[in-house]
This record gives sequence, structure tokens and C-alpha cells, in this order.
Amino acid sequence: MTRYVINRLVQIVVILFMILTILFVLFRLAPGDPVARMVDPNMTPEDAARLIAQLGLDLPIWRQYLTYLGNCLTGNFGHSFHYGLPVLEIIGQRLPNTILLFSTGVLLSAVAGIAWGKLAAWNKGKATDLWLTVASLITHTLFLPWLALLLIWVFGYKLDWFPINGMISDEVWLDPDSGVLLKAWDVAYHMILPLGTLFIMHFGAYLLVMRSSMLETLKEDYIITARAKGLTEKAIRNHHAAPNAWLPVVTSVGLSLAFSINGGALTETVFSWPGIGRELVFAVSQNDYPLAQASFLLVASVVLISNLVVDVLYAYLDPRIRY
Amino acid sequence: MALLEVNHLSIGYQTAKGLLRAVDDVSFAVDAGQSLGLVGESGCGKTTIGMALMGLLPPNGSIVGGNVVLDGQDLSGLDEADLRQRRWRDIAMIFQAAMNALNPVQRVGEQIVEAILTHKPELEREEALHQVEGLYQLVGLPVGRMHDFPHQYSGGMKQRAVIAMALALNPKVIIADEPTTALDVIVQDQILKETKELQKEFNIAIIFISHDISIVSEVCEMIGVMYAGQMVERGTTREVLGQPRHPYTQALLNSFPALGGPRRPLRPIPGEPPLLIGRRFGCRFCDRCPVPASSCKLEPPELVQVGETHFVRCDNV
Amino acid sequence: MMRAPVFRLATTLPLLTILLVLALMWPSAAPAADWDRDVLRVGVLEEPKSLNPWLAGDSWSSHVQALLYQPLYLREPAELKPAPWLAAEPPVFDPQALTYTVRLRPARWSDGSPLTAADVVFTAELIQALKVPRFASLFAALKQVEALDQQTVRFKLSRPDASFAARALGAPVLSQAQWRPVLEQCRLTQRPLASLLQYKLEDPLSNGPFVLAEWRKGVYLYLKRNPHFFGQGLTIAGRKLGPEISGVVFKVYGTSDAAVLALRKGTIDYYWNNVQPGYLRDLTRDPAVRLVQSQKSALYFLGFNLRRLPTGEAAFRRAVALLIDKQFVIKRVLQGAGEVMSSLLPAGNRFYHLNTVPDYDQPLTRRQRIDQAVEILAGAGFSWDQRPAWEGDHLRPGRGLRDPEGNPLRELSILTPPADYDPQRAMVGVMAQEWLGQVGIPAFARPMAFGAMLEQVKSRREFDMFVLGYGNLPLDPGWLGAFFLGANDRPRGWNMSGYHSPEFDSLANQAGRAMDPQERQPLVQEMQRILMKDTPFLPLYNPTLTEALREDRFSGWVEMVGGVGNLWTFCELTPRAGRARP
Repeated sequence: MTRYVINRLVQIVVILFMILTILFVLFRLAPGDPVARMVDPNMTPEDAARLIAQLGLDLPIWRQYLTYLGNCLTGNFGHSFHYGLPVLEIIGQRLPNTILLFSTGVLLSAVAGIAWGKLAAWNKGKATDLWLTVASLITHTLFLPWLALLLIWVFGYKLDWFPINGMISDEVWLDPDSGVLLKAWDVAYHMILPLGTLFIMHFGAYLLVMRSSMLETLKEDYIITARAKGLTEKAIRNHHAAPNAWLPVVTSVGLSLAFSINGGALTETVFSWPGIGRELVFAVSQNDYPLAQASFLLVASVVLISNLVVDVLYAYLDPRIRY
Repeated sequence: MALLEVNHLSIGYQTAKGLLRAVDDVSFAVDAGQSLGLVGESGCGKTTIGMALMGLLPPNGSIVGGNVVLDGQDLSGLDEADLRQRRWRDIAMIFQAAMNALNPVQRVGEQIVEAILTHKPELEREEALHQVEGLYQLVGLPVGRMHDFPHQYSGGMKQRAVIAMALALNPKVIIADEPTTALDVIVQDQILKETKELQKEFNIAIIFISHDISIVSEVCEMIGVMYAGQMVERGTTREVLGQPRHPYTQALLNSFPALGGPRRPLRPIPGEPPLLIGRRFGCRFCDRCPVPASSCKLEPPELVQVGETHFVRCDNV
Repeated sequence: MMRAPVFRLATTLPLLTILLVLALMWPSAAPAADWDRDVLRVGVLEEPKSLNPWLAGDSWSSHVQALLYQPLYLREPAELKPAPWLAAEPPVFDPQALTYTVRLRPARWSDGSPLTAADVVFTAELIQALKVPRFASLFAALKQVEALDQQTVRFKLSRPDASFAARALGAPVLSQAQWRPVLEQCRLTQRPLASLLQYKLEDPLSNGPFVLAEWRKGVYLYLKRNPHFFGQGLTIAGRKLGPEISGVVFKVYGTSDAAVLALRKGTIDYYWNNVQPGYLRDLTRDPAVRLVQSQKSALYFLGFNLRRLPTGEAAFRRAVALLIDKQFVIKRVLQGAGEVMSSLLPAGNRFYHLNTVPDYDQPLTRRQRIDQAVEILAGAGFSWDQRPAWEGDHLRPGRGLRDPEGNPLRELSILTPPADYDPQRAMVGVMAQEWLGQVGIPAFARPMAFGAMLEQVKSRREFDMFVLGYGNLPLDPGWLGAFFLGANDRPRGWNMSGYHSPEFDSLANQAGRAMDPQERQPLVQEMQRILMKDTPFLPLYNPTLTEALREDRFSGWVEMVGGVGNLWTFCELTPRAGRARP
């Protein structure tokens, strides 16, 4: 096992190096230069050229690449052109927000999707199954911004139950009298609508995977054994069918968790969530190379590593698998 | 009165093409400590009978006639909760271990503990574990392997574990469905012997379901031969094997090598069993019968007593 | 069985969480303490990129920076004339010595230390020393700057620069105490300018009405009233200054939808952005919301590439100008929220604006436009395989347009930003394509990413036409000369069209040296007349800025060119008595 993990880690490092290179080339090939963006009528061509030189973009591309590579190795991912801050600092500010929202979203929808998928499979062909399956299919095909805006309009504006968007309200966080608990509540309160949106969008996928996996499992002989042993239906479902059925779901959840770190730029935008997804889109559209490269690299490493984690977890969940 | 009585049992499956009568008017009885072998080709209804005895027919299957009486109580009259209570406690089952009879992600010992605790919720877990240890010793499994997963067991060990599980609640009846089919002959032999000993020790009635008449003949005092949902011949092992009266039984005996018997050529039975959907006339074996009479196609044969405990469903005896 | 309870928990976990959170929501809805009674809340669409004044020039950063870093002179809202701000009185210009002498008001930094002439000198020196791109061109004519005493600064120019007073003296003054050590440090690095731009400013010293209190990145930025603000209680340009409000919270909204809802709900008092026409119907019906329309100092135009044919041909450009019906664009694309631009200098700049309407902007019918354009093209030697012709009211479009040499015209590109960046400009491109197509000009709208488009136009200079805009042009007309001076026709240069006119160059240079506005005015107007004739850029429209605000908590919004989001508003806004947060 240890050997296997080490091998995989080495692989990951090699892949990351390749991604690093591809990213570098891709961004340099993309049209638009980071300074052209600054259409400040004050700036002369000389000013622009100076800026380019100061940002190190006037060097031959191979020297830029070597510098970039060297910096990456020492953990220096450079400064964002537009924020003027170290890229790592920007990512450090935004990433936790994204992880908070999207991991919670994935986990909630996975837990519910698995639970309901179990239920649907168990009641295959009955009304419960029909409702759950149809609901999953419909919600899964919804257009996210539309759904989000609908929720915002109904619950945030018309009914005024929740804040329209954002992650915290300044009323609470700036208030010198607010305690930690109140602030935490405030975040949770703000998370309800985005979480609701993510939940509605995503539980269906887990439900359907779990349902079909469960149906496969229910055909297995050990289910008959369990039934013959006189177990209650619930014990059979939860103790024998489900633990086998959610093996394939684990992969799906694990990867969703991994991908959730690049956030949904759309979700983050609609809900004004200060996450990494929006920054990534911004960085790419504004040719902010250092920010874009580091963000993508981060996404790539998380996906690779969680792939490994999922594999290891799989081995833990399914005793038949050994590496 | 026998421990387990099956009277004129008929079982139907609701299918898209109509009602499939998988079991038709089957009767037999087993006493404590006795064993009955149900033999026949796949699809003859022997497993369906086993499932019906456990009350585990699939949702589209149901008993359409007759009843099952265990210890004087009609099981078909019980509701699901009662039935569940009695499962494993009264009637346990030994499954074919090569299939996934054991849950692959649960430790083997745990699966037996679960059976015990389900029916004896008052027991402490520790106590149940202790009982499992006893069962392991009983079936000849190393106690240290209790906490292994099924895939870590060999085929024979799995089979022993399944037997241990069946014995866990000291049931009155055990249904053994193809218990040794996938095992190699030596292990098969060992396990059969041990099963027999355990049966004697605990005075259990065993219904032994197999397609292999030679194995059944080794273990069982009584044999019922099934064909196309009907029991075509029933009697003591000596009666059925010594004087097989039904042409199907004879054909079946010819298609298997007898353990320790004289060498003879094996003859497969030509043709296929009939479909069991819709109304049928006449004898079901008629189309494959080597000695059909003209009347066979018209009237279904009745069960005829040909010996003290020997019955045959054939008009030509 | 043993693990069953865990599974039951798992099943109900999502429901439980939601219920829990629901139950917890009420404390945050409870009335908070009074700390924010007089705090103004402003919705913005993007977070300020940085408060480092040397780096960030984007409009969102400028909104905040304008409340922190103050200039010597600030345009007042009525006449848009520079009013003495940090300065005590108008600058004294000495035409012989080419010097501006500026006397400062008594003022302090937000830490209480005095703001002196040394700060002003330092700011100018830093800009010149590192050639800070945002400001370098403003100070290009500056030869020397010195403090005559604690309160007096003298700027000495190397050449007459008409824009210097308006632009350089309108630049923010920054703290020597804060930036001198930074500058020293940056000078030690390999790339001093980059180091300065990347300097992380934790606690910006302010000389404005507000000072940074807390910045929660991506969420909000809170400015508190600066107790040391020099203008507190003063009357400048006839306006009594506060600020009367205790602070400003900038809240970041990801979409206009959310910001508009937040405004209607009362979460914010003002949405600092143009409100798209789509929202106006609901907003006009909402009694709590007031819509304010303002002129902008903006220019949206169709640019031509004069370096190649046929766009290099003046007659061709005039034909295009005729074919484009600006009234129609404003009606259909801007939904009426804008005015036709005939001169490149926005009309809001009343002093310099040339109020002449060229023939192609006269109200003409479609038929007149097409006929005149065909005539002009034909007169210039263009020919058609099939000349556009009218069959009753129906136009048979022209086909096979050939240039005066008789060669068929190649496909012409009209570069526009993509629809998601600016739907209006993208739409204009498509309309132009259709209109030009009617007379047989094979022009095709090509929306492309903004950065890529700028690169194509400014660096590679490979295009035929492009639609671009400036949303916030300086009121000083200095840029007009810069945009069309022949000398600025180079990669990344201001002269994107490649316009060359000795007549214009000489006028522009003259205007650039005219230190007296009265002398400068006719020159600038003449420049506009020439550009109207030569049309290197065809000005299209100046959109009307529509902003939405609430008046239930604060009164005293100051309207001016560029909208109510101006420094005067923030200095004059007064909390209403007996107001309550909705």
C-alpha cells in the first residue's frame, strides 16, 4: 500500500510538471496581452513598454519559462498583475470560501442523494421511486443561474427570509458587539440559498447513481442470505445493500469534491460568493498569467491527489481491493 | 405428524406472458433428524420450494395452492413480521458458497453475529461473538479467522462458514440449496460427512436441494425427484435408487456417474423441459419420454403409490 | 443492526442541517446595535483590485481611492471647473518662468500628522523617478518641483503644457511618510517599478473624507469618517462639506440582478453602476428608489484603419458614416438611454465641445442614406457588378463592390467586444454589418475577447473597423490631440486609426501649448471640425448614465457629469432624521 501511494505520488509530480508547462505555453499563446487591457488614456506606449518590462514579459519566452519554473519550485508563484498581491495570498483568501460552500454542497447533496437513491431502489417501480427519479432528472437539467435567481427572488427578495447574496453581512461582522457565534451564524445564514441551489442541482446525480448501483446490489445473493436470516428490511437495505452499492458512488463524490475547489464560477457570481472560481475566470479573461497559472495548477493538484485519496478510500471500503 | 409437512403446494410467478406455475401440487413431509433430497434439472422448481419454505419468494411469486405446516403451524397463514421472526430460528438455509452468499464488505464473523442478535436482541454482543467462536469450532474453522472478510476464505472455508451461520440459532429445519456444487470433490465429501454428523448431533431436518442425484443419495434417507414443477417420484433413497419407476428418474440416474457404483455409460436426456405458462394437458415429461403411451398426452398422470413410501407420477407403472 | 442508528442519522442529516440553520437564522435578523446608523451602503459590481494608488486604475478601485487620496484641485459639480481642494486658491501661473505656484490649505493625514508641501513634492518626484505608468504622462512636462515653504509648492515646466493644470494638479497627493521608505526599498530591487506596484499597502494613509477601517476581501470594504479630514465644515465652491455620514460600506455584488434587488430591499442605499434598461420598469414603480440620469464623459465610436484601403479612403468612411443611423442605434440598442455624438468630444464638456452637426448626422430616411452613400462611393470611383437599386420601396442590395482600381473588395472586419462584455457594442457591430451590406460593402462583425481585440487594434494593427468606447474620459481635452497626432501612430500608441494630418498635428500641438483656456478653446473646436470631416473615428453615442439610489436614509445626493457617485456626494450626504433601516 505504502509503495503504491509513493508510486502514485511520483506520478502526480510528473503530471503536475507537464501541466505546469502546458499552462505556461497555453497562456502565452492566448491572444491579448496583460497590459493592452489597461486602456488608460493616460498611458503612452513607452509607459506600456516599461510596464511590460517590469513584469518580466519582455524577456524571450524560454527565459520566462525557466524563471517561472524556478519560481514554482521554490513555491513562489509570483504576483497577480491586477491585484499586485502574491498569487498565493489571493488564493489563500478565496479558496477557503469556495471549499466551505462547495464541499458542504457536495456532501449534503451526496448524503441526500445516496439516502434517497437507496429509497428509490428499494421501492423500485412504486410511487416513491417514480417521484424521486423524475425529480432528479428534472432538477439535474435545470439551468443553474436561472434556478439561483429564482431562489434569490423568491426567498431573498419576495419572502425576505434570506439575504440576497454574499457570504457575510457587514451589519453583523462590522458590529463591534457581534460575537464569534453570531458571525458563524451569519455565514450559515448566507449559505442557505447557495447551498439550496447546489443541492437541488446535484442531488439528482448521486440519487441516480446510487439507485442503479443499489438495484444491481439487490440482485446479489448475500441480500437473499440477509433476508433469510430474518433481518428487517431496513437492516438489509442499510447494512447489506447500501455499503456495497455506494462503492461506485464514492468515486463520484470524491471527484466532485475535488472539482469543487475550482468552484462554480457561475454559482459564485450569482451569489456574490468570494470564491476562487470567479477569480479564475477573471484571471483568464484579463490575462493575469500568474494568478491563472497558479489557480489552474492548484485545481490540477487537488484533482490528482483526491483521485489518489479516492483510490485509497476505495480499498478501505471494499476489502477485496488491495494495492 | 411430521415436523415439516408440505401439502399440495403450488407456486406461481406472475410474468409478462401470464402465470408461470413453477411448482404444481407438491407434497412431502420431513421428520426431525431426517433428510430429504430434492433433485431435478435447473428450473424444475426445487429452489422455488426452498424459497417458499423460507417465505422468501420474490415479489411476483406466491403460493397459489396448498400449504406448509411446520410443527403443526400453517406457515402460509403468518404475516410478514411473524414469518421474519421464524426465519433462521426455525428454518435456516445453507447457500451455495461459491456465489456471493456472504456479504463481501462485512467480516464473516460479524455476519453470523448479526443473525444471532437479530433473533436474540437481549444478548450482549460479546456473548454472540462467543457463540460464533463455538460455531467455528463446530464446523472446523479456525476461530482466528472470524474477523476476516469472505474473500480471504477458501471455497471450503466459506462453505463451512455458511453452515456455521445456518446452525447459529439451532433451527429445526435446514434447507441446503446446492451446498457443495462449486467445491472440489474431496472438500465436497468432507463437508457432506460433517453436515451429516451435525445433523445427527442436533437432530435437524434437512432438505437437500441438488441437481446431482448421486450426492443426494449419499446424504438423504428420502428423495423427491422434481420435473417441470411437479414431484414425479418420491420415496426412500433405497426405493427410488433401487427401483426407479419414473422414466425421468431412470434417465436422471443414467446421466450421472454413481459414486462408488459400477462403471456405465452416461446418457444425457434429450430435449428440454416444457414451458410452464398456460394450461397444459397430459404428462409433462411426455415429449422427452423414451416410452410414451398414447394416453399420456391427454390426461395428467396422478400420483400412484408403488411401495410403502414410494410414489410415482406416471400412468405406465 | 449495531450501525443502524448511524445510517438513520445520515438519511436525515441534510434535513436536519437545513432545519438547524433555519432555526439559527433569527439572531442575525435581530436588530443590530446602533453602530451603523449613519453608515452609507454602496453596492459595487466588482471588488476594488487594490488601494495601492500606483497600481490600480480600474473604475472600482478608483471609486474607493477617490475617497482616500485627494488632489490639489477637484472639479466642482456645477460648472465642472477645478475648485481648490487641498490647494487654498487657484494656481498662480507665471508664463515667463513656466511655473505654477500652489498654496495649500492646512490639512492633515488620517494619522493626524500635517500634510505639507513636502508631500506634494514627494508625490511628483516619485511619479517621475519611477515613471509610474498611471501618472507619468501627466507629469511629462514637469521639469522641477520644489517646496517654497511648508504650505507652498512650485511646479516648473520644461515646456508649455495646456493639460498640466487640469491633469497633474488633479492627481492625488500621497503621503511622504508612508511612501518614502517604500520607494527607498523598491529602489534596491531589480525592478523598482514592479516592486512599487506590488507593494502591499496594509493601512493606507488618507487625506480624504474617509479612511480604511476594514476590508474583507471579496465581500465588503468599510471606510470610516476621517476625523482629520481638512474639508470638514469648510465651504468649497459654495458647497458645505461634511462628511455627515459616519462611514461607507462598499458591498460587492456578483451580478446587477442581485445589486438591484439589494437596493430595492434596502440592503444598500446606492448602486454605483449604470442600471441597464431592463431593470428600469420595476425600479420606476418602486417608490423607495429614485433613478438619477446623468451625462457621462464617454465616447463610443466606430474606428477605421486608415493605413489600408478601402477604410483609408475618406469618401469610403463618409459613406459608412452615412449608412450608420445613430438615432436608430440609440433607439434600438440603447433603448433611448443615450445621445447621438457628432463630435468626438462629449457634449458634457461644454466649454470645449463643438456643437456642429455634420451632414451625415442630419435626420435622413433610410433611402436617403443609402442613395447618398452610393453616390459618394460612385463619385470616388467605386463600382458594382450590380449597383444597389430601389424597386418601389424594396432595396435590391448592391453586389460585387469594386474599388477604384476595379478589384473586388475583400472581406472587411468590424471588431467588437463580445456580447457578454458589452452587448451594446456587439450589437452595433452586427447592425453596421447589415447596413454596409445593403450597398454591397462586404463587412463582417467579429466579436472577440476584449484583451484580444485591443491587441489586434493597438499592437498588431490588423483590422478594418472596430467598435470601442471610453466610459470615463478626462474633462481636459488633451487626449483628443493625443489620439490623432501622427507621431502617436505606432504599436500600442494612442493613434489607433493611423490618422495623419499635418493640419491637425499643428493645431493639436498649438492647443497643447495654449496655457490660456480662452486661447485653447477655438483650437480644440477646430480640431473637432477636422476630425468630423476626416472621420478617422466615427463617434456614435454617449450613453446616458442611469443610477438608482434610495433617499429614505440619506439626502443630499450631488448630481454631476459622471453620476452621483462623486466625492461631493460623499462629503455632503446627510442622514435623515427619524430614518430607520427597512
